[in-house]
Amino acid sequence: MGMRLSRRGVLAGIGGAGLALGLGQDGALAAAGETVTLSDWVRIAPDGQVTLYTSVQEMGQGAWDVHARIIAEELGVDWARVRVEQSPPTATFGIFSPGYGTGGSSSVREMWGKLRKVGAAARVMLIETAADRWAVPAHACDAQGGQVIHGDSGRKLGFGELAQAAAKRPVPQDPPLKPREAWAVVGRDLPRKDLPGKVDGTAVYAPDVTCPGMLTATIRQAPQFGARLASVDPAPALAIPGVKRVLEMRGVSITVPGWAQPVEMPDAVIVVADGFWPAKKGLEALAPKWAEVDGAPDTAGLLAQLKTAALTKAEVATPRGTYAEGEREALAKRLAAATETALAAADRTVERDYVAPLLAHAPMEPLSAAARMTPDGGVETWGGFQNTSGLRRSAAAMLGVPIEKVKAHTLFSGGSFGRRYKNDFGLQAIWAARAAGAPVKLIWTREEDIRQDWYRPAGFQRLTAGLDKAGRVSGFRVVGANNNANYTRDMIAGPPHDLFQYDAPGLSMAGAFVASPVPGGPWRSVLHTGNAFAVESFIDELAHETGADPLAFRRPLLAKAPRAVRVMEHAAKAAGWGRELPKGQGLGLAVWTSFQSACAQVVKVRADGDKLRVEQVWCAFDCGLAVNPDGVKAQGESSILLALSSAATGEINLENGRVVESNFHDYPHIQLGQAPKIVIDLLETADVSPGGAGEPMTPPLMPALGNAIFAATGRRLRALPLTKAGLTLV
Amino acid sequence: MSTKLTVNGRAVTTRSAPDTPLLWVLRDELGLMGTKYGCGVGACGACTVHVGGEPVRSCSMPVGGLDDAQVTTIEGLAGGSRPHALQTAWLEAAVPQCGYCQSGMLMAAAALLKRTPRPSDADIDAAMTNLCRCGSYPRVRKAIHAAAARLAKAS
Repeated sequence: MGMRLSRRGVLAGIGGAGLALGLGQDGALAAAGETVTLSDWVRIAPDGQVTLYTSVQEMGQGAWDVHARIIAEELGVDWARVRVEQSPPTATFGIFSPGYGTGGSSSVREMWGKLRKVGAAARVMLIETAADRWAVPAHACDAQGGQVIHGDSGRKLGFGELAQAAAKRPVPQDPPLKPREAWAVVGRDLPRKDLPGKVDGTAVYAPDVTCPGMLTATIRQAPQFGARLASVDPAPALAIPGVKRVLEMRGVSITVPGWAQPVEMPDAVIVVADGFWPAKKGLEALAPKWAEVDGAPDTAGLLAQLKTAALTKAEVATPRGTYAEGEREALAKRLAAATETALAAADRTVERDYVAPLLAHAPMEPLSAAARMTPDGGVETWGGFQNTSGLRRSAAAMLGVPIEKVKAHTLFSGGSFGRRYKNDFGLQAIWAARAAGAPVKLIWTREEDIRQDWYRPAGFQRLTAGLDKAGRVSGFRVVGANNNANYTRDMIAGPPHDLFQYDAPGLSMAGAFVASPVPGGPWRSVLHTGNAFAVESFIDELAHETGADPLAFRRPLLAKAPRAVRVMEHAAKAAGWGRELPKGQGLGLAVWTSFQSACAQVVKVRADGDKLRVEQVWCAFDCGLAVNPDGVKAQGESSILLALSSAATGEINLENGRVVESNFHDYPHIQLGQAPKIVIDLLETADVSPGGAGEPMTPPLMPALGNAIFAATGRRLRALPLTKAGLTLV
Repeated sequence: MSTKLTVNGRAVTTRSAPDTPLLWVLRDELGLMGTKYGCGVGACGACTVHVGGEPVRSCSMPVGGLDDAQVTTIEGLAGGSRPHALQTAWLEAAVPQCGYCQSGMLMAAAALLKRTPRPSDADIDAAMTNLCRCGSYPRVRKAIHAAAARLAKAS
């Protein structure tokens, strides 16, 4: 916070943006003096056309225009007349101030308060300008529909007529915000600005970028994680018409100032051609030799390693914060001892193990980026980058140029789910453009996409609960381990993650980080999918162990989480919780709080032998305030179906450090005909800062599904996917 | 070696090698970027176009076998300046999320409506096998029904 409102920034950052490539950046700024940059985020043309910026990378989450919605609301302009443009990737616009990136369901969470002020400041400047012209008090004027209106006289002046003079006024630092009852944009289902280009084929994704002389490349990275490229004979590829170059990317390690670790790029062979098809044929004609590593993991080995680490090396989590020397360790000891005491004093204990597989992101657009070197030794690059700041910094370090020489265009991406927060594909495109001496767009094959992911880490968790004579929870312990992550620890470590929603006596969590050559990274809701599956399945088990109803069993444990209780009660009521169902059918419930939002889901299943139909999902969601309610509902549908698909068939397996799966035939995705009916109800909580929406409806689905399967069949799933248990989603 | 095609009503002669999938002829030679690459093995349908009015997965269809074929892509789905009823319904239902699969989804839906003007849910289940990782399926179904109703009313 503490952002100072200013009118600079836009002009500095946007110059020279991709005119030749027709990527949607117009030339308005070149014609300086005509269009007015009223503030960093607001541009007004003489005809009143309002252009608002967004710093959201649109990956399907529908948040691309939410920044504009927030500003438009305060500014007083009709949504239909607003144009939205991607801002340049400068600190002025960075959601992670100063970092320019999109993730952590932060687009509204981080920007709501700031952008309301941005819009309100612009409104005040326009109103004051008009009031001066009319010689009336500013408070007698209002801004609506792109005009300033003087209420008493009915006089009107369009924003376009006022912008030039308004831009010369001081920027108010604490402008008054519109009261809720006056809102006309926020909280309404108004059309998304990114959609028209997505139904006529004109939306531009990285593989669609072209410029004169641009070649197309595709890549094969070391198939075994950590293997090195020994040699490759380029001749078979070069014999294919259209193939221009065979590039050997070897030992690229980028030291980025300020980063703890260098960026280690996997060794790779890149074939550059005059189209994707010859590039792919060329790559397939090659037989690169890889120097493999010994002792590479297979699936069973990785899971065994996680289990051992969880049971022997997990360290008790303490809330994030600053501790005097020895204090953190002392607190951890006290927490652990309290849990042991509570469990020892329990009437009985229940202990269960849960396993989460590696998951691929598999966005519909395989990873791709375009790049061309610029005459100043820098580069211009295009891609669906979730982390444009990180890309610019690492690209600058790789090229040995200042960051200003890395011009990066943040495009729409064909999905991401967290994958494009890693910049491997962007750096490879830039590296290839430099090595090839020509502009290059790099398009990964689907096989590379599946096999070279930064996977949702695998996890092992053991949960132990103490129960008193009345069947109430009297102690609660989680120990867990993940590869390249420590998600059990993060569940209780505090901000930026939400604290564990349950208030159980004698609670402690212990997590272990297992370093592995298998890359791990954020996958839609990050730590929460695996954690929620384990915890919410376990809570359901405890309820059944004690003969309690799973809904009633949760109520006392959620005593300090009223928003979680409210969504839970709502979803349960909507689903008709407690009703009698025919044999083979069942309802399952889960509730989870993440990204400052609470979500409950009830899943209804019908089992017929080994065939499982998910008939309906009821979802109640509280993100405080939904800026675009229909967009939030779409995120619910999206989260539920991605989680359901992953629960049904999602698993990445390893053999000797290589990924077994390779495409949608063996890493399948749910089809339309398998999708359940989905009902999403949004519950509002007034006077809280808006929570996230793109991720927090993901975690409840997997445990709610497992709990429904138990209710329907008596079978308890402690590992996913369903195919492991011989169940097929139909 | 060249292949003659009619693409969105325009006669073209391609120079791509005959084993080149139609997808890459459309994208890399003809510059029609609306049709997308998703898997290369005909599994996802992001590359769906019409050949002779039938929906096909263009990533797996070598252009050499398509002499004289009539090809329609997303760029040719609308008739002239008027959007196809499906495109209108798609916007009204806010179907797309990331949008990458949507060209193929729309082409598959258009072929379905041509064959079955008032499809049942079961018809939609059977015809719409395109993959959408974002989960636009409930809205795809809704928009197909809406477009079918509108077309039935108009005719």
